[in-house]
Amino acid sequence: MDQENFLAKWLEGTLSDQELQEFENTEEYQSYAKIVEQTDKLHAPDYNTFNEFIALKRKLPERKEAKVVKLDPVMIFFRIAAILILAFGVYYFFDQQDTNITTDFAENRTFNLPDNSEVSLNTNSSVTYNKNSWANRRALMLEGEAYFKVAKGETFDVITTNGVITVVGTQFNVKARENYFEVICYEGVVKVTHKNIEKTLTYGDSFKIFNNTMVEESNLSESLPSWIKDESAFRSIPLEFVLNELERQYEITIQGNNIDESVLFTGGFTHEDLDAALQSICIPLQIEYTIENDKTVKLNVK
Amino acid sequence: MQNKKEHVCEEKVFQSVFMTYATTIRNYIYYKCGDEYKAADLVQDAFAKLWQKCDDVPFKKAKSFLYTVANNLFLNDVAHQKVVLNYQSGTHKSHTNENPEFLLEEKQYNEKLQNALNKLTDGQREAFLLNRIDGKKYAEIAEILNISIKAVEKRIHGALVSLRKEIGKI
Repeated sequence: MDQENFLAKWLEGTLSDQELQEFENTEEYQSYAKIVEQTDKLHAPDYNTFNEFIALKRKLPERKEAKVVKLDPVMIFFRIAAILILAFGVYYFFDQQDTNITTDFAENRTFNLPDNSEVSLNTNSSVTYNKNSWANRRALMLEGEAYFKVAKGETFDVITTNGVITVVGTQFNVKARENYFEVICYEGVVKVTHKNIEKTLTYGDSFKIFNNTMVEESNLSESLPSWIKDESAFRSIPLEFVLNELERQYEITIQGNNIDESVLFTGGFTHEDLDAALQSICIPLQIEYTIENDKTVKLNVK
Repeated sequence: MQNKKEHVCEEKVFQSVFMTYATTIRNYIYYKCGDEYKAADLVQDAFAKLWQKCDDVPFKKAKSFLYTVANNLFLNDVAHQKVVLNYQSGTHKSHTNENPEFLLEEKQYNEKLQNALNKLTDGQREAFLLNRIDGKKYAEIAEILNISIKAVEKRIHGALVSLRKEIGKI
């Protein structure tokens, strides 16, 4: 193997077939493959972008011109007084605690925001907002999935790790799970900002991102998200995300044996009967399932 | 529909930039120093700076601005700790029939690997972990570290060679 930095090329997958074969026959190959395989199981410590962003926002100064004031001993007393007043004011302003509403596994919840906008929170999700600043700025942070009926008024922002959704008065569903982001508009107009892409959705449009692929659909016929009716529905979604949702709805762990999780699934499952739910997923895909105990389900290819 | 008025001073854009880049910048600093709290603080400082200077930083430059600022802030106080990474063998991804002996072996190997990772040079560790853990392509790592792609390849090659040597030695 004479190519420069060939290990980097190998890792990137840019070695030629011949070079690759040559490398695979060397003694070191196994140990390199193991290093990479094991490194790929490592993760950096948790980092909560939501909490960090909230903390950052508290630190950000208002963007105003800074004034240069000459130091004058007589002024020092007034300065200290001003600082105290300011500090007190800032404390008062920011001390108003954020409201956080969270649902656990297998739990749904519907509640009203200060302006009577309605939020239905799907399982294992959370919403954070500030009651006191609500009148000035309607914005909340969402982790997980929720359905919004927004009261008419100024703009309303839903902030997720995947992007920001802005609306005026409308009904829409947001699903922001790991590697999965979906917004469906059920009434009015919804604006989605994802990185520097901005999309406008109208009635019946949806916008999805999973595994870094973007899918846009329109003319959806449903008038409500399915989970409001205690069902989950999917249209051409990789099985992986369907199983993740099943795990959340029933608070179970699914162990798949040789299951191809990238296969696309169209269909739905109920939230009320695990056996029936498993049947609706497994039968069409020719998968066998066993419910080991209350918490574990095993899947096998038939 | 691409948005033309993407400007970092716009709160929404700023939020979106944070959501997009914060984790990778945190990880990048973490791989350098092994102090997750310092890394998180630096990310906040870098974004605070971006907020102040948002008028002068066009959207396209925001990313490299953030990395440069985080890096400069980092150089000012260096106190290295051991980088500790979480080991996760995946939930319902693939495994099932793993016996205790196998699990123990995995655990021991993981310890060796983490020690070996800590013995890499900072440059090698950053490049290698940004690639493996954060899934960054070499071109993007080159941009983050402000070096050439070839230099990234060299670091990654070097990282693998030293990891193998180090793990084989123990």
